[in-house]
Order: sequence, then C-alpha cells, then structure tokens
Amino acid sequence: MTRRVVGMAVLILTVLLVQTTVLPVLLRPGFLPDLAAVLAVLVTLERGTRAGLRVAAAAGLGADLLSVTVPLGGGLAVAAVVAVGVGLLRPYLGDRSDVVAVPLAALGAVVAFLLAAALRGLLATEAVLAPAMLVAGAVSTGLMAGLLALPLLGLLRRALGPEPEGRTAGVVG
Amino acid sequence: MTSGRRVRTLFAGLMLTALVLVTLDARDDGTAPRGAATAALEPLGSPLARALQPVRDLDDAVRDLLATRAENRRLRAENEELRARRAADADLVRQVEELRALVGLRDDLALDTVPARVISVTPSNFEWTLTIDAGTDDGVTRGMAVVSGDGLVGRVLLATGDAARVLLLIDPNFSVAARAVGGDGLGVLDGRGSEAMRFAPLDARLPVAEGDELVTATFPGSAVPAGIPIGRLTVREDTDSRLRAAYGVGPYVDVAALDHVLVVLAPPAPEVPSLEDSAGVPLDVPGPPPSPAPVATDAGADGVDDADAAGSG
Repeated sequence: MTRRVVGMAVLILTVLLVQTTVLPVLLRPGFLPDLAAVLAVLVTLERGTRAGLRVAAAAGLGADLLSVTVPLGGGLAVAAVVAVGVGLLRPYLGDRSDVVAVPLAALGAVVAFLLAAALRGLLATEAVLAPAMLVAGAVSTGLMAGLLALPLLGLLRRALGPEPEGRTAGVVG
Repeated sequence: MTSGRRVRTLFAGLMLTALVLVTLDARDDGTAPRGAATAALEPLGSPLARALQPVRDLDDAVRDLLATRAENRRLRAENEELRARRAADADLVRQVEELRALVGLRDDLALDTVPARVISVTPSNFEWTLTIDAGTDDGVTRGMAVVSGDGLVGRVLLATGDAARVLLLIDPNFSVAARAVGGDGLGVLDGRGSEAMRFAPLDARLPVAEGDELVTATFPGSAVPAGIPIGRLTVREDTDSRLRAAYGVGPYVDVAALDHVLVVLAPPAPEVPSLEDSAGVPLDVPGPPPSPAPVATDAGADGVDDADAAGSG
C-alpha cells in the first residue's frame, strides 16, 4: 500500500511538473490540457471512482496551487466532476482497454477545459472566451490529452502495480 | 457504508472543500499558499526548466525563422509597392518640370499657344512624327510650330478636328531656318533621322563655333517664330568645299520623353513677292560702292561665294 501511495504521489508530482514546466514550452502559446483531470480519468478507469476522486483532489489542488489564473479549488472541483462522470460511465465501458482510455482522456480534458472556462466566467477572473476560441481550446486540449493518455496510463499502471486480490474496484491501495 | 455512498460522500466533501477554497480565494488573493506550493516545487521545476531550455531555444529559433520569412515576404511586397509608387512619383515630378518649362518658354517668348498632350510617338526608320490631342478645333493648322519646355519639337504636318500629326525636327524631311546665337550666323537646319541634325550656315565665313546655341529664325512663309531654342552645335563636319560649312546639332528636346507640348498659333510670316511680280515697284537699292580695287582672284572668289550663299538661301 505504501508503495502505491508513494508511486501515486510521485506520479502526481510528475504530472504537475509536466503541466507547469514542460507543456508551456512545447505548446506555447496554445491551450494546455488539464493533466490533473486526465489523470483522474485514467485512475477512475483503472481503480474506480473513489480512487479517481482522491487523485482528483490531490492533483487538482496541486494544479490550483501552482497556477495563478485558476481560482483555488477550481481545478479540484473540475477534476472531481470529471472523475465522477467517468465513474458513472465505467460500468458501461466493459473492457478497460487502452482504446477506451484514450478517447475518455480526451473527452475528460475537453469537459475539464469547458468547466474551467465556465468557472472563470462565473467568477469573472478572466475575460470570457469567444465561442471560436472555446472550440479551438476544446479541440486542442482534447487532442493533446489523447496523445498523452497512453504514456500517462503506462506510468499509472507502473505506479499502481497489479490490482490487489479480493479488492473491489474503486479503492486505491 | 456502501461503496456508492462512500463515493457520493467523498464527492460531496470535495465539492464542499472546493467551494470553501474558492470563496476564501475570492476574499484573499491566495498568494501565501500558492507561493509555498511554487517554492516547494522549485527544486524540481528549475532543473527541469533548465533542461528544457534547448527545446525552448529551438522553438524560439523556429518561430523566429518562420516569422522572419513571413516578414521578409511582407517587406518584399511593401518594397515593390514603394518602388512602383516612387516611379510614379518620379514620373509626376518629371511631368511637373516639363509643364513648368513649357509655361516658362511660352512666357519668355510671349507666344500665343495651345496646350496639347502627346498621344503617341512614331519613331521609325522612315518617319519621325508624333500625334497630339489638339487639332483644327483648337486653331491648329498645318505648318505651325510645336514646342516643349526645352525648345522646338517640330511642325504640324496634318491637322484634323481634335488631333494633329507633328513632324519632328529630327525627321529627314524637316527643315527650318535657324540662327546660331553666339556667332549670329543664319542658316538652315535639317533633320537626319537617327543621326544628329545638321546645321549649314548660309555663309561659311560667319563666326560660328561648336557649342553655340541654335534658335529658330524667321523665314518667309514659315509659321515658326524666331527665337525658339533648338539645340547646340556639336562638331563641325567635313564638307567637299571650304566655302561650305556644316555642323552637327544636338537637340534640346528628347522626343521620346514628351508628354505635353504647346502649339504656337503664329500665322506664317508674309511672303516677299518675287522679282517677276514686283515690276514697277521702286526698289530702294543702295548704289555701287565707289571704285573697288580690281583684284582678279579675290573678286572671283567673292563672286562664287555670294552666288553660293544666295543659292543656299
């Protein structure tokens, strides 16, 4: 259990570093996918909604703390909503294969982008994006999340290790 | 507690936490926790950022290259546009100078003129003419002189209602009485096509020199008024007789660069009646000079010279 917790902490830290340091270099000045939400999607797919919510809480709050534009708690709420959404879909998905993970990660990133935009609009922290920019941002973040989903899923499986015997899906560790 | 209920409780707790954080963040700017988080990640973030610096530099270089190419294309297009505009401006300046010179010449010579634009120039091996947009409706008739700001252009060859054909002064069929200003020598100027024009003084002994300015002179029956600049004598040409002189003439007017001209509305100078028609008219001729010394050779030479000069006139 400790190994999994440490593994997840390292993975969340890595995701936050990639989100704040690597992606701005590679995608400048494009829209950045919300990797905390993507990670929450993948964890929910792999280990259930509760595990996804825990990761959403940690990664979302971390992303909020490292961002100066997102209101504190906003990323947390968005990642949690996305995780719950995927958790609701999960019983109908059947095989949790990589094929399902990629489009779901992309969809989760798009939803997260739109929710974050709506939240910023509600809180009036930034100017509301024009519809064309919203579409461009949704497409861009969705594509990037789809590309990053597979390597992130590989790291996630390595960090979580094999699923414990006799445990129900939905619990981390 | 069932798994579903645990999930709902956890979700509700997270949303409540998020709401509280958002509210607190809205009251305070949240600088303190954010600063702490950034400082905590700094030991990992800075080396990573340094490691990514080459990627950033490469990205910058590619972006700069693309931007430079785009800017280069834009600047080239702008340069072409400016060149075209400068050429148009230069042409306008040239036309203004041409018109200014035209007005100056008209005022200097106190000529009654009609302005005209050059419609076309027809320089060929056989005909050096141009067409202007003034004709008989404007008072233009055959034989009238056409001038530009630089001097004589030619003579009207044919006039219709609203256009006229002008025989250029370089045409081989063009001929006009001319006077060298410096030497005061009267003579005849002939066009010679693509070669330099030719000025032949009536009297080879008159002091005419290379570099003298040539202007038009009055001639019976000619509508070309006196005093219009033509050009400069360039070189003295070899002739078959030392009693005849000829000079090449460089015209002032560049016929290929004419846009505006003036047609001089001067009537032809009155014709002098011929000797046959002047029977009975008393002639006021001075008497012969008193007893010239009979020198055979000089008298003969003078006689030939006078006859030659008369023939040329």
